[in-house]
Amino acid sequence: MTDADELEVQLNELSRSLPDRISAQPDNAGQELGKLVLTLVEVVRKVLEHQAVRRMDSGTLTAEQVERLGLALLRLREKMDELKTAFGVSDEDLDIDLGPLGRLR
Amino acid sequence: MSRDAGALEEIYEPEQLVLSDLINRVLDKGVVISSTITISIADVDLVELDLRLLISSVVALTEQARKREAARRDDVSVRVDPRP
Amino acid sequence: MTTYLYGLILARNAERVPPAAKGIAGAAVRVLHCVGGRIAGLVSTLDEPIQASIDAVRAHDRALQSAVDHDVTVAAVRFRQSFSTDDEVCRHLSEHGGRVAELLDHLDGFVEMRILAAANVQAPRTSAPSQPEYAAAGPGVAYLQQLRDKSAQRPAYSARTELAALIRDEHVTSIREDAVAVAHLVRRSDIPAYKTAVATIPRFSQATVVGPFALYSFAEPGT
Repeated sequence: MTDADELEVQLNELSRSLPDRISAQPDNAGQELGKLVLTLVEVVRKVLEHQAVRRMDSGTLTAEQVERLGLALLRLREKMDELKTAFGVSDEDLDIDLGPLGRLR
Repeated sequence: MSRDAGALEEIYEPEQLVLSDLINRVLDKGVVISSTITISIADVDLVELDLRLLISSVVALTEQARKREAARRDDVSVRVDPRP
Repeated sequence: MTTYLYGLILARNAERVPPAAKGIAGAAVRVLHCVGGRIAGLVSTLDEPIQASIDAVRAHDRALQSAVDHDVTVAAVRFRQSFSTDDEVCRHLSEHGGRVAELLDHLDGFVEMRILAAANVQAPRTSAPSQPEYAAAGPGVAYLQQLRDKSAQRPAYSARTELAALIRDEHVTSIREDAVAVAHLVRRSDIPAYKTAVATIPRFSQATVVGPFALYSFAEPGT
Protein backbone atom coordinates (compact mmCIF):
# COMPACT_ATOMS: atom_id res chain seq x y z
CA MET A 1 0.00 0.00 0.00
CA THR A 2 1.49 3.37 -0.89
CA ASP A 3 1.81 6.12 1.70
CA ALA A 4 -1.04 7.95 -0.02
CA ASP A 5 -3.34 4.92 0.24
CA GLU A 6 -2.38 4.43 3.86
CA LEU A 7 -3.12 8.04 4.67
CA GLU A 8 -6.47 7.76 2.94
CA VAL A 9 -7.41 4.73 5.04
CA GLN A 10 -6.37 6.51 8.23
CA LEU A 11 -8.38 9.58 7.38
CA ASN A 12 -11.42 7.46 6.61
CA GLU A 13 -11.19 5.75 9.99
CA LEU A 14 -10.78 8.98 11.86
CA SER A 15 -13.30 11.09 10.05
CA ARG A 16 -16.19 8.78 10.91
CA SER A 17 -16.24 10.25 14.41
CA LEU A 18 -15.38 13.80 13.48
CA PRO A 19 -18.64 15.07 11.94
CA ASP A 20 -20.75 13.44 14.67
CA ARG A 21 -19.02 15.51 17.26
CA ILE A 22 -19.19 18.66 15.24
CA SER A 23 -22.66 18.45 13.70
CA ALA A 24 -24.25 17.12 16.89
CA GLN A 25 -23.27 20.30 18.67
CA PRO A 26 -25.83 22.96 17.90
CA ASP A 27 -24.09 25.39 20.21
CA ASN A 28 -21.13 27.65 19.66
CA ALA A 29 -18.71 25.15 21.18
CA GLY A 30 -19.20 22.76 18.27
CA GLN A 31 -18.71 25.54 15.80
CA GLU A 32 -15.49 26.58 17.50
CA LEU A 33 -14.21 23.02 17.54
CA GLY A 34 -14.86 22.76 13.83
CA LYS A 35 -13.15 26.06 13.18
CA LEU A 36 -10.10 25.04 15.16
CA VAL A 37 -9.78 21.76 13.29
CA LEU A 38 -10.13 23.56 9.99
CA THR A 39 -7.63 26.20 10.99
CA LEU A 40 -5.00 23.63 11.88
CA VAL A 41 -5.65 21.58 8.76
CA GLU A 42 -5.12 24.84 6.87
CA VAL A 43 -1.75 25.30 8.55
CA VAL A 44 -0.74 21.80 7.52
CA ARG A 45 -2.04 22.43 4.02
CA LYS A 46 0.23 25.47 3.78
CA VAL A 47 3.18 23.35 4.83
CA LEU A 48 2.35 20.82 2.10
CA GLU A 49 2.05 23.58 -0.48
CA HIS A 50 5.35 25.12 0.53
CA GLN A 51 7.15 21.78 0.38
CA ALA A 52 5.55 21.05 -3.00
CA VAL A 53 6.78 24.33 -4.47
CA ARG A 54 10.26 23.61 -3.13
CA ARG A 55 10.22 20.18 -4.75
CA MET A 56 9.03 21.68 -8.02
CA ASP A 57 11.81 24.26 -7.96
CA SER A 58 14.40 21.67 -7.06
CA GLY A 59 13.95 20.10 -10.50
CA THR A 60 13.79 16.59 -9.04
CA LEU A 61 10.26 15.82 -10.21
CA THR A 62 8.94 14.89 -13.62
CA ALA A 63 6.41 17.19 -15.25
CA GLU A 64 3.75 14.59 -14.63
CA GLN A 65 4.57 14.39 -10.92
CA VAL A 66 4.42 18.16 -10.61
CA GLU A 67 1.05 18.23 -12.36
CA ARG A 68 -0.39 15.50 -10.10
CA LEU A 69 0.97 17.24 -7.03
CA GLY A 70 -0.48 20.58 -8.06
CA LEU A 71 -3.86 19.05 -8.88
CA ALA A 72 -4.05 17.26 -5.54
CA LEU A 73 -3.24 20.46 -3.68
CA LEU A 74 -5.67 22.44 -5.80
CA ARG A 75 -8.47 19.99 -4.99
CA LEU A 76 -7.54 20.07 -1.33
CA ARG A 77 -7.71 23.84 -1.36
CA GLU A 78 -11.11 23.84 -3.05
CA LYS A 79 -12.50 21.36 -0.54
CA MET A 80 -11.11 23.36 2.36
CA ASP A 81 -12.81 26.48 0.97
CA GLU A 82 -16.10 24.57 0.88
CA LEU A 83 -15.61 23.37 4.45
CA LYS A 84 -14.84 26.86 5.66
CA THR A 85 -18.02 28.13 4.07
CA ALA A 86 -19.89 25.17 5.50
CA PHE A 87 -18.91 26.11 9.01
CA GLY A 88 -20.94 29.20 8.70
CA VAL A 89 -23.98 26.91 8.88
CA SER A 90 -24.34 24.46 11.77
CA ASP A 91 -26.23 21.63 10.02
CA GLU A 92 -24.08 21.47 6.89
CA ASP A 93 -23.29 18.05 5.52
CA LEU A 94 -19.53 17.49 5.79
CA ASP A 95 -19.33 14.63 3.32
CA ILE A 96 -16.36 15.98 1.41
CA ASP A 97 -13.95 14.14 -0.85
CA LEU A 98 -10.37 15.30 -0.29
CA GLY A 99 -9.03 13.30 -3.24
CA PRO A 100 -5.77 11.55 -2.33
CA LEU A 101 -6.26 12.50 1.31
CA GLY A 102 -9.49 10.53 1.45
CA ARG A 103 -12.96 11.48 2.53
CA LEU A 104 -13.61 13.86 5.37
CA ARG A 105 -17.15 12.75 6.13
CA MET B 1 -21.99 34.85 25.56
CA SER B 2 -20.05 35.82 28.62
CA ARG B 3 -16.29 36.22 28.30
CA ASP B 4 -16.10 34.09 31.45
CA ALA B 5 -16.39 31.00 29.23
CA GLY B 6 -12.63 30.96 29.50
CA ALA B 7 -11.91 27.32 28.76
CA LEU B 8 -12.43 27.83 25.03
CA GLU B 9 -10.54 31.13 25.03
CA GLU B 10 -7.33 29.23 24.46
CA ILE B 11 -8.46 28.36 20.96
CA TYR B 12 -9.37 31.92 20.05
CA GLU B 13 -7.04 34.48 18.48
CA PRO B 14 -4.24 35.20 19.20
CA GLU B 15 -3.73 31.82 20.92
CA GLN B 16 -4.87 30.09 17.77
CA LEU B 17 -2.40 32.17 15.77
CA VAL B 18 0.44 31.22 18.11
CA LEU B 19 -0.50 27.54 17.81
CA SER B 20 -0.65 27.81 14.01
CA ASP B 21 2.81 29.38 14.00
CA LEU B 22 4.14 26.67 16.29
CA ILE B 23 2.95 23.95 13.93
CA ASN B 24 4.34 25.73 10.87
CA ARG B 25 7.74 26.23 12.54
CA VAL B 26 8.15 22.68 13.73
CA LEU B 27 6.80 20.93 10.62
CA ASP B 28 8.10 23.19 7.89
CA LYS B 29 11.32 24.79 9.17
CA GLY B 30 14.52 23.58 10.73
CA VAL B 31 17.36 21.45 9.53
CA VAL B 32 16.76 18.15 7.74
CA ILE B 33 19.51 15.70 8.64
CA SER B 34 17.90 12.35 8.05
CA SER B 35 16.89 11.48 4.52
CA THR B 36 13.71 9.72 5.61
CA ILE B 37 11.10 12.40 5.24
CA THR B 38 7.77 11.19 4.00
CA ILE B 39 4.26 12.09 3.47
CA SER B 40 2.81 11.26 0.15
CA ILE B 41 0.43 13.41 -1.69
CA ALA B 42 -0.07 12.23 -5.26
CA ASP B 43 2.80 9.82 -4.58
CA VAL B 44 5.36 12.55 -3.98
CA ASP B 45 7.18 12.52 -0.64
CA LEU B 46 6.92 15.88 1.07
CA VAL B 47 6.80 16.12 4.82
CA GLU B 48 6.71 13.68 7.70
CA LEU B 49 3.23 13.84 9.11
CA ASP B 50 0.30 11.76 10.17
CA LEU B 51 -2.63 14.00 9.45
CA ARG B 52 -5.09 11.77 11.23
CA LEU B 53 -3.35 11.99 14.55
CA LEU B 54 -2.87 15.70 14.19
CA ILE B 55 -6.60 16.15 13.75
CA SER B 56 -7.60 13.68 16.46
CA SER B 57 -5.42 15.37 19.02
CA VAL B 58 -7.07 18.67 18.15
CA VAL B 59 -10.44 17.05 18.78
CA ALA B 60 -9.27 15.72 22.16
CA LEU B 61 -7.78 19.07 23.09
CA THR B 62 -10.98 20.93 22.39
CA GLU B 63 -13.17 18.29 24.05
CA GLN B 64 -11.25 18.92 27.26
CA ALA B 65 -11.80 22.62 26.88
CA ARG B 66 -15.50 22.14 26.28
CA LYS B 67 -15.85 19.93 29.36
CA ARG B 68 -14.10 22.53 31.49
CA GLU B 69 -16.39 25.19 30.12
CA ALA B 70 -19.47 23.08 30.82
CA ALA B 71 -18.30 22.44 34.39
CA ARG B 72 -17.76 26.14 34.86
CA ARG B 73 -21.22 26.88 33.48
CA ASP B 74 -22.75 24.33 35.88
CA ASP B 75 -21.06 26.06 38.81
CA VAL B 76 -22.48 29.39 37.71
CA SER B 77 -26.00 28.02 37.20
CA VAL B 78 -26.03 26.57 40.73
CA ARG B 79 -25.26 29.96 42.18
CA VAL B 80 -27.77 31.79 40.03
CA ASP B 81 -31.07 30.51 41.38
CA PRO B 82 -33.91 31.16 38.90
CA ARG B 83 -37.24 32.27 40.19
CA PRO B 84 -39.93 29.56 40.04
CA MET C 1 14.17 2.05 20.59
CA THR C 2 15.02 5.12 18.56
CA THR C 3 17.03 8.27 19.07
CA TYR C 4 14.88 11.29 18.37
CA LEU C 5 16.72 14.50 17.42
CA TYR C 6 15.26 17.87 18.38
CA GLY C 7 18.06 20.29 17.54
CA LEU C 8 21.77 21.00 17.30
CA ILE C 9 24.04 23.13 19.48
CA LEU C 10 27.71 24.00 19.68
CA ALA C 11 29.39 21.30 21.78
CA ARG C 12 31.07 23.95 23.87
CA ASN C 13 27.66 25.28 25.02
CA ALA C 14 26.40 21.90 26.19
CA GLU C 15 26.94 22.51 29.90
CA ARG C 16 24.25 25.24 29.84
CA VAL C 17 21.54 22.84 28.67
CA PRO C 18 19.26 22.11 31.66
CA PRO C 19 19.53 18.51 32.83
CA ALA C 20 15.86 17.83 33.56
CA ALA C 21 14.11 18.98 30.37
CA LYS C 22 11.32 16.80 29.05
CA GLY C 23 10.56 16.10 25.43
CA ILE C 24 8.24 13.86 23.45
CA ALA C 25 6.12 11.49 25.50
CA GLY C 26 7.80 12.90 28.60
CA ALA C 27 11.15 11.39 27.66
CA ALA C 28 14.26 13.05 29.10
CA VAL C 29 16.14 15.39 26.79
CA ARG C 30 19.90 14.91 26.86
CA VAL C 31 22.94 16.18 25.01
CA LEU C 32 24.55 13.76 22.57
CA HIS C 33 28.23 14.41 22.04
CA CYS C 34 29.86 12.93 18.96
CA VAL C 35 33.58 12.13 18.98
CA GLY C 36 35.55 15.06 17.58
CA GLY C 37 32.38 16.96 16.84
CA ARG C 38 32.00 20.74 17.00
CA ILE C 39 28.25 20.29 17.31
CA ALA C 40 26.17 18.18 19.67
CA GLY C 41 22.60 16.99 19.43
CA LEU C 42 19.64 17.50 21.75
CA VAL C 43 18.03 14.06 21.77
CA SER C 44 15.66 11.71 23.54
CA THR C 45 15.66 7.94 23.52
CA LEU C 46 12.14 6.78 22.65
CA ASP C 47 10.65 3.32 23.07
CA GLU C 48 8.86 3.45 19.76
CA PRO C 49 8.65 5.68 16.71
CA ILE C 50 6.71 8.80 17.52
CA GLN C 51 3.23 9.51 16.34
CA ALA C 52 2.70 12.92 14.84
CA SER C 53 0.26 14.78 17.02
CA ILE C 54 -0.14 18.30 18.34
CA ASP C 55 1.23 17.10 21.67
CA ALA C 56 4.35 15.81 19.95
CA VAL C 57 4.78 19.05 18.01
CA ARG C 58 4.45 21.04 21.23
CA ALA C 59 6.86 18.72 23.04
CA HIS C 60 9.43 19.11 20.25
CA ASP C 61 9.21 22.88 20.57
CA ARG C 62 9.33 22.73 24.39
CA ALA C 63 12.46 20.58 24.35
CA LEU C 64 14.22 23.23 22.28
CA GLN C 65 12.80 26.07 24.32
CA SER C 66 14.30 24.75 27.54
CA ALA C 67 17.76 25.13 25.99
CA VAL C 68 17.00 28.53 24.46
CA ASP C 69 15.74 29.78 27.82
CA HIS C 70 19.14 28.93 29.28
CA ASP C 71 21.03 31.07 26.80
CA VAL C 72 21.94 28.32 24.36
CA THR C 73 21.70 29.03 20.63
CA VAL C 74 19.99 26.07 19.01
CA ALA C 75 19.53 25.12 15.35
CA ALA C 76 16.13 23.45 15.32
CA VAL C 77 15.87 20.15 13.50
CA ARG C 78 12.69 19.48 11.54
CA PHE C 79 10.00 17.43 13.20
CA ARG C 80 10.24 13.68 13.30
CA GLN C 81 13.90 13.09 12.55
CA SER C 82 14.58 9.76 14.23
CA PHE C 83 17.55 7.44 14.03
CA SER C 84 18.08 3.83 15.05
CA THR C 85 20.90 4.65 17.49
CA ASP C 86 22.97 7.50 18.92
CA ASP C 87 25.80 6.40 16.64
CA GLU C 88 23.55 6.81 13.61
CA VAL C 89 22.92 10.40 14.66
CA CYS C 90 26.65 11.02 14.94
CA ARG C 91 27.27 9.43 11.56
CA HIS C 92 24.71 11.70 9.90
CA LEU C 93 26.11 14.72 11.67
CA SER C 94 29.63 14.01 10.51
CA GLU C 95 28.36 13.70 6.94
CA HIS C 96 25.84 16.55 6.83
CA GLY C 97 26.55 18.65 9.89
CA GLY C 98 29.46 20.78 8.68
CA ARG C 99 27.26 23.56 7.40
CA VAL C 100 25.27 23.67 10.64
CA ALA C 101 28.51 23.89 12.63
CA GLU C 102 29.53 26.93 10.57
CA LEU C 103 26.07 28.45 11.05
CA LEU C 104 26.10 27.99 14.81
CA ASP C 105 29.62 29.38 15.02
CA HIS C 106 28.53 32.55 13.24
CA LEU C 107 25.21 32.83 15.02
CA ASP C 108 26.16 31.97 18.58
CA GLY C 109 24.15 34.36 20.78
CA PHE C 110 21.36 34.87 18.24
CA VAL C 111 17.70 33.92 18.50
CA GLU C 112 14.74 33.89 16.16
CA MET C 113 11.93 36.34 16.84
CA ARG C 114 8.66 36.21 14.89
CA ILE C 115 5.94 38.75 14.18
CA LEU C 116 2.58 37.08 13.54
CA ALA C 117 0.45 39.39 11.41
CA ALA C 118 -2.71 39.35 9.32
CA ALA C 119 -2.15 38.71 5.63
CA ASN C 120 -3.90 41.08 3.26
CA VAL C 121 -1.83 41.31 0.06
CA GLN C 122 -3.81 40.70 -3.14
CA ALA C 123 -3.37 37.59 -5.28
CA PRO C 124 -0.60 38.03 -7.86
CA ARG C 125 -0.48 37.74 -11.64
CA THR C 126 1.09 34.53 -12.89
CA SER C 127 4.69 34.55 -14.04
CA ALA C 128 7.02 32.44 -16.16
CA PRO C 129 7.37 28.79 -15.14
CA SER C 130 10.31 27.94 -12.91
CA GLN C 131 11.29 25.03 -15.12
CA PRO C 132 10.70 25.46 -18.88
CA GLU C 133 9.60 21.86 -19.35
CA TYR C 134 6.60 22.42 -17.12
CA ALA C 135 5.28 25.23 -19.29
CA ALA C 136 2.97 22.99 -21.32
CA ALA C 137 1.49 21.14 -18.34
CA GLY C 138 -1.98 21.67 -16.92
CA PRO C 139 -3.86 23.31 -14.05
CA GLY C 140 -1.83 21.50 -11.38
CA VAL C 141 1.38 23.16 -12.49
CA ALA C 142 -0.41 26.48 -12.88
CA TYR C 143 -1.56 26.27 -9.28
CA LEU C 144 1.93 25.61 -7.98
CA GLN C 145 3.25 28.50 -10.08
CA GLN C 146 0.64 30.73 -8.51
CA LEU C 147 1.80 29.67 -5.06
CA ARG C 148 5.36 30.58 -6.01
CA ASP C 149 4.25 33.97 -7.24
CA LYS C 150 2.38 34.55 -4.03
CA SER C 151 5.54 33.97 -2.06
CA ALA C 152 7.20 36.64 -4.19
CA GLN C 153 4.65 39.06 -2.74
CA ARG C 154 6.02 38.60 0.71
CA PRO C 155 8.33 41.61 0.51
CA ALA C 156 5.16 43.60 1.23
CA TYR C 157 5.46 42.41 4.82
CA SER C 158 9.16 43.10 5.13
CA ALA C 159 10.40 45.13 8.07
CA ARG C 160 14.05 45.22 7.00
CA THR C 161 14.09 48.99 6.70
CA GLU C 162 12.50 49.78 10.03
CA LEU C 163 14.49 47.17 11.93
CA ALA C 164 17.78 47.33 10.04
CA ALA C 165 19.93 48.08 13.06
CA LEU C 166 18.43 45.25 15.13
CA ILE C 167 18.13 42.32 12.74
CA ARG C 168 20.71 40.25 10.97
CA ASP C 169 18.26 38.64 8.56
CA GLU C 170 14.56 38.33 7.79
CA HIS C 171 12.34 35.57 6.43
CA VAL C 172 8.62 35.81 5.68
CA THR C 173 6.36 32.75 5.73
CA SER C 174 2.71 32.31 4.95
CA ILE C 175 1.32 30.19 7.78
CA ARG C 176 -2.35 30.40 6.81
CA GLU C 177 -4.37 32.16 4.11
CA ASP C 178 -5.01 34.93 6.60
CA ALA C 179 -1.69 35.08 8.49
CA VAL C 180 2.03 35.52 7.90
CA ALA C 181 5.02 35.13 10.15
CA VAL C 182 7.85 37.62 9.72
CA ALA C 183 10.89 35.95 11.26
CA HIS C 184 13.96 37.88 12.33
CA LEU C 185 17.43 36.87 13.36
CA VAL C 186 18.16 38.97 16.43
CA ARG C 187 21.02 39.17 18.90
CA ARG C 188 19.77 37.97 22.26
CA SER C 189 20.89 41.19 23.94
CA ASP C 190 18.80 43.20 21.44
CA ILE C 191 15.48 41.50 22.27
CA PRO C 192 14.03 44.36 24.36
CA ALA C 193 15.02 46.97 21.77
CA TYR C 194 13.56 44.76 19.02
CA LYS C 195 10.20 44.46 20.77
CA THR C 196 10.10 48.20 21.35
CA ALA C 197 10.93 48.90 17.71
CA VAL C 198 8.25 46.49 16.39
CA ALA C 199 5.66 48.18 18.59
CA THR C 200 6.31 51.44 16.75
CA ILE C 201 5.58 49.99 13.29
CA PRO C 202 1.97 50.90 12.43
CA ARG C 203 1.21 47.93 10.16
CA PHE C 204 2.17 45.58 13.02
CA SER C 205 0.06 47.35 15.65
CA GLN C 206 -2.34 44.36 15.80
CA ALA C 207 0.40 41.76 15.38
CA THR C 208 1.62 39.26 17.97
CA VAL C 209 5.35 39.10 18.63
CA VAL C 210 6.63 35.69 19.75
CA GLY C 211 10.07 34.43 20.71
CA PRO C 212 12.89 34.07 21.48
CA PHE C 213 13.08 30.74 19.72
CA ALA C 214 15.67 28.34 18.45
CA LEU C 215 16.72 29.02 14.87
CA TYR C 216 13.94 27.60 12.72
CA SER C 217 13.74 29.75 9.60
CA PHE C 218 17.44 30.55 9.67
CA ALA C 219 18.80 27.08 10.23
CA GLU C 220 18.47 25.88 6.66
CA PRO C 221 19.14 27.83 3.45
CA GLY C 222 16.25 28.32 1.04
CA THR C 223 13.65 27.49 3.66
